[in-house]
Amino acid sequence: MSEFKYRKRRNWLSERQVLIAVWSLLMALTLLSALTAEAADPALWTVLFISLIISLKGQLVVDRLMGLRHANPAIRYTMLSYFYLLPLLIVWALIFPEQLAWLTTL
Amino acid sequence: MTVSTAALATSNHLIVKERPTPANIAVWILIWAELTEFALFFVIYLVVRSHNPELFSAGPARLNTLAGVLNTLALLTSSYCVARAMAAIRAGHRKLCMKWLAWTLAMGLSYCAIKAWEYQWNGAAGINSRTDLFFTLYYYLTFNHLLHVLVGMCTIGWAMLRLHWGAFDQQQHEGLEGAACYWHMIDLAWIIIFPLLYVLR
Repeated sequence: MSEFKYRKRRNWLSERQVLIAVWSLLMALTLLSALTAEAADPALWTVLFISLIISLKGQLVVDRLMGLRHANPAIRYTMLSYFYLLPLLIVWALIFPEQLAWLTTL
Repeated sequence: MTVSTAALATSNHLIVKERPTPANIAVWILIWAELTEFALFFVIYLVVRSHNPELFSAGPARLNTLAGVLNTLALLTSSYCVARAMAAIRAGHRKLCMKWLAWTLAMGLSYCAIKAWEYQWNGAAGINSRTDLFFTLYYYLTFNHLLHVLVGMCTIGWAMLRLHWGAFDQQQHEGLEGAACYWHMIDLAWIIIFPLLYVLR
């Protein structure tokens, strides 16, 4: 087997291992957020924790499963920004609902 | 730089170059349009929630959390399967790619079956789209997402047929990348829907 073929095969195996690790992490984060919903009372830390999990899961899918980690930065950062902005919006809407209600009252 | 390091650097450079942006610009415009549509739904949900905090605080507790969790696990696993299918086609393993695409479809079918069970469970508990504002938005969001899953399954099915006919190989698989990216987009939308509807109380 030539050196190039060997490197290519080694790289493919490594990609498989990364995908398995990412999948396991995504499973664990999902179960953790479900447990939080069942066990914890609604509180500031719960909202922050769940929003952080949303952001982490989104980044893992975009970078690792979609394969955008080394892609065109414009496409990658547009996708990632979805998982920066929406969790922030969720935090704001759940922690300061009066502000949002005031802003959206006609 | 020694010769071997240079070879390694060159090899690494090649590996990076082997992974350009998947799919084409038309697919990305479609994905951005779909995600924008979902983002509008999320904003509407948050605005309505801010006007009805008690209703939206009580709503998630009445839902079948197990169904929500199982759906999330099914969709994340399907995304993993489609990523494995893409790794397989890049390595030139067409049969392995077909196997992982079949698993993706199976996970999509599982999602649909769990969703059907969940809707039936809701019906038995006296919950429907007119119960209150929370459930109106719940049905609007989840049914819309279910339609996207069905479209995604058709797309993956079509990609499987094209793979079977020999349209994709190690060098040429842009169409398959488009189908894979669309499927990941469906998963991305659910990553936000799940905590909004089932977790945050």
